[in-house]
Amino acid sequence: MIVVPNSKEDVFLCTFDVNYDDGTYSTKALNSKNEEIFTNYEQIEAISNMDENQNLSYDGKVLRVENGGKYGLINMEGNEVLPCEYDAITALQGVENALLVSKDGNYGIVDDEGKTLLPTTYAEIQGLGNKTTDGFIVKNTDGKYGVVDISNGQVLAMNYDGILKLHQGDYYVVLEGGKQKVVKKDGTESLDANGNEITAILKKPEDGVIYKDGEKYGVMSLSGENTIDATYDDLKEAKSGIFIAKTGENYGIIDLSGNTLVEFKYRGVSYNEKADLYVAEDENYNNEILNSNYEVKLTGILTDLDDEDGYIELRQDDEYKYYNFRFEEEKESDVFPSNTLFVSKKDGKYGFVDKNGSVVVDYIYDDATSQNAFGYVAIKKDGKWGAVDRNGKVVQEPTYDLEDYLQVDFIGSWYLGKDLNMNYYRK
Amino acid sequence: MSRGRRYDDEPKLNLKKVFAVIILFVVIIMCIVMIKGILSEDKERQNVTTSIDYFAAYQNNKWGVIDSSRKYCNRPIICRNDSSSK
Repeated sequence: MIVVPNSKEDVFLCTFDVNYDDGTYSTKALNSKNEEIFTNYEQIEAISNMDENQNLSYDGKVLRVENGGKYGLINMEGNEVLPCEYDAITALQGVENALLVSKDGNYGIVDDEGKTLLPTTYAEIQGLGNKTTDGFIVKNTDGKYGVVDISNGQVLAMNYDGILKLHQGDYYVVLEGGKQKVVKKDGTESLDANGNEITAILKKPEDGVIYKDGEKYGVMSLSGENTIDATYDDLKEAKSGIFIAKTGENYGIIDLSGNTLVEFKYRGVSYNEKADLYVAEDENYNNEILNSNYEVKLTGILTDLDDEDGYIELRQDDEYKYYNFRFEEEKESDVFPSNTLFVSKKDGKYGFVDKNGSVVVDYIYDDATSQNAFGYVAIKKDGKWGAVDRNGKVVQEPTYDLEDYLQVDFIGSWYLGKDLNMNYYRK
Repeated sequence: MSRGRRYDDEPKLNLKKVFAVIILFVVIIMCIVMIKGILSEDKERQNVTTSIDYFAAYQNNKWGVIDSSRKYCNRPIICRNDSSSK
């Protein structure tokens, strides 16, 4: 197969001659002229990573190379970033720009410019959060755990049997004598969870922790008293003192005093911090968008919430509508000023108009998608999908059955593959 | 009755020169606008040509790469020796 680790770079990594019996395979790098590049290495591969939602990605700046059984790094221009002298190099799972290198059984961390963040002296390294600046949980050769920062400075002494990936400010959850405890950065104990499982430290750590007693969740103060009894089937803090809670199959919102702010009637609720809004979903996959006062402001099927560009895309009455975070409707042409085609619906059929509202593609389709970054829109007719280019010309007649695809997208006549993690197009 | 200074003994205003100067100004402004337009068009063109994205592609049991430009999007680059790859 082929992996394109960085869509902007003319570097493609091919795997071939795969032997499924002994697990061996060959690799090489090609450019868009089909020339083999970076030929000084026995193996050359992209470095994969996976985030907390199991989304696969590749390091877009460096490639892992192998010579004589040892691994190193090169950048996308082929320049050496790290010499081939390590026993293994992988991404530190879930952490951006952190590569786990091992030598003689010990581990260290380098970034994608080859700079050493942690020396290869640790028995084990994990990310504390998803950024290198969050720090690292490290284990020494004596089997004790501590926390170090991005410069290998000690944050939490190497005194513990384990450290959980839960921290808030200067508070950490550690494992000592088989029990979970909350300790401060200076090592002073703030809470012994009395055998309960701590699942989160609250955003204001002095308010306590979310804990799990058996299968039920509650909130415990740092003095060990129950603030919210462990009666919920799930409990997550949305913003400080506000919790998304689950009872039975239904989700609602409560505060730190246990007061119900939003009735338990949804099949799912999530909070978007940047937009300061809640997205609730009912049993029919319809969404309600609630503001920070828990008022329902919009309903429909949420298809996109872009907190960088600041818009919400909702499918309402089989049409895509756009709203800003003040819940005011916006024109699609204002949200996407560089687009040339805009979905329009007339008499139950979809077509496309330009910025001025002039019809570019006639109203003959049963469904349609918004224009993608490359100018293409997907159109559906008689259950089959095809594509139209930025000028309104059909570049792929509707012939593809993509009914069970999570995302329908085209580049020319190529459609996006079903496995979104593989990020490939096919026809 | 005085008819104004221009009708005194001093030389009269040369209307031809006045028009020539006005036209010169108009031409200069037009040139500036045109040059600006050409430069921004060049920038746009540069943006278009440099914003190519590459994606892995799969067709007839072969892997290749397509790019996002209209020019090449239908022309896969087939990886050599990949007949056994899946």
